[in-house]
Amino acid sequence: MGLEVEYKSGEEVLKEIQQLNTVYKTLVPAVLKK
Amino acid sequence: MMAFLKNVNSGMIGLALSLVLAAAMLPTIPQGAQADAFPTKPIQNIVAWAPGGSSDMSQRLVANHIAKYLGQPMVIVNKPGGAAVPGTTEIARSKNDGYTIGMNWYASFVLRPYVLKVPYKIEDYIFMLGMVRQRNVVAVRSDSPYKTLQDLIDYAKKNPKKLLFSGSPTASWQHLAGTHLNQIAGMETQFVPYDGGRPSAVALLGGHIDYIVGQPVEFSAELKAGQIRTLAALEDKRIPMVPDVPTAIELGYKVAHPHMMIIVGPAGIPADRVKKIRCLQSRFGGKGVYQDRRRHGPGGRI
Repeated sequence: MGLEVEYKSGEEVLKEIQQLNTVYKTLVPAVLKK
Repeated sequence: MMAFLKNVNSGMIGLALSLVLAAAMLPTIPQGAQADAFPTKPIQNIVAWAPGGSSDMSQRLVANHIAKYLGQPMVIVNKPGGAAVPGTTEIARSKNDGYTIGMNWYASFVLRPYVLKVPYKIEDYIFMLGMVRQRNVVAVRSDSPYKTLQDLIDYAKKNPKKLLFSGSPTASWQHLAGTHLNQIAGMETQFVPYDGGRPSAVALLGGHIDYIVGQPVEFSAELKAGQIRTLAALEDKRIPMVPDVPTAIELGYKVAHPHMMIIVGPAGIPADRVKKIRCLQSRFGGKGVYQDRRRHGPGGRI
């Protein structure tokens, strides 16, 4: 299954979101421009 | 954007049902366990999706059990539409006393701010807990000449724009993950948008595309039947469903695109209240029982 119960603390969630944002900040506009 | 949301929610009804069943089997915590003053009134839980969907159902199950423990109801307030932006915004604008929280997904804080004009920012929220993870992989048809991710990358680098991939609509989580892999690997392949993960899998099986970036749930039958081969997980660790498949990171390509269902609230909720909500959400998400059911099949051993 592609969806699984898995817990992360709020701090881990925030860190992961911040990491993804460093990528998505440039990736999303580049993808949408194509 | 709506197609993206549709994709995000696809295949989740089963998950929500599993959570409902799992929580229903958990022992009830005695009423005597209530000790803190908080809450003294109902807690509002804003779900930015429509009633009846898995996002909604998963929180309704939690709400039922939390109410037994707290002695106060947790009221699910559905604020669907607008790509979840209105509901997400309302959480940020609520009073930060712990009486308003919300269920959401990473996409509201990672993807939508770059696709839509949103009136909120990350600092407006406290992130309490991540509960459910959506996982993506790179996969090919079993008769594909690419036995490994490296095989695929080597061919793509020698033959720019020749390979086609899909997984979902344009600007979906899967599209972005596949494009990120292209960037990191230094290859150029072409994205072909489909209406969702399942149509993409069908296109892969039909030979219309060369590989797919998607959730294994969307082609689990073909995986079991040996018609589709998974090359790599685009995660920070291996996926339980395909434990022998390495992550792209293990193979030298730092590409991980985790997506989670999360519990958030307006920034500034007192720490003891956050702790209480976090403990209850994790307690009643039914992790232990749910994972047992996952290991032992739909009937589980329970």
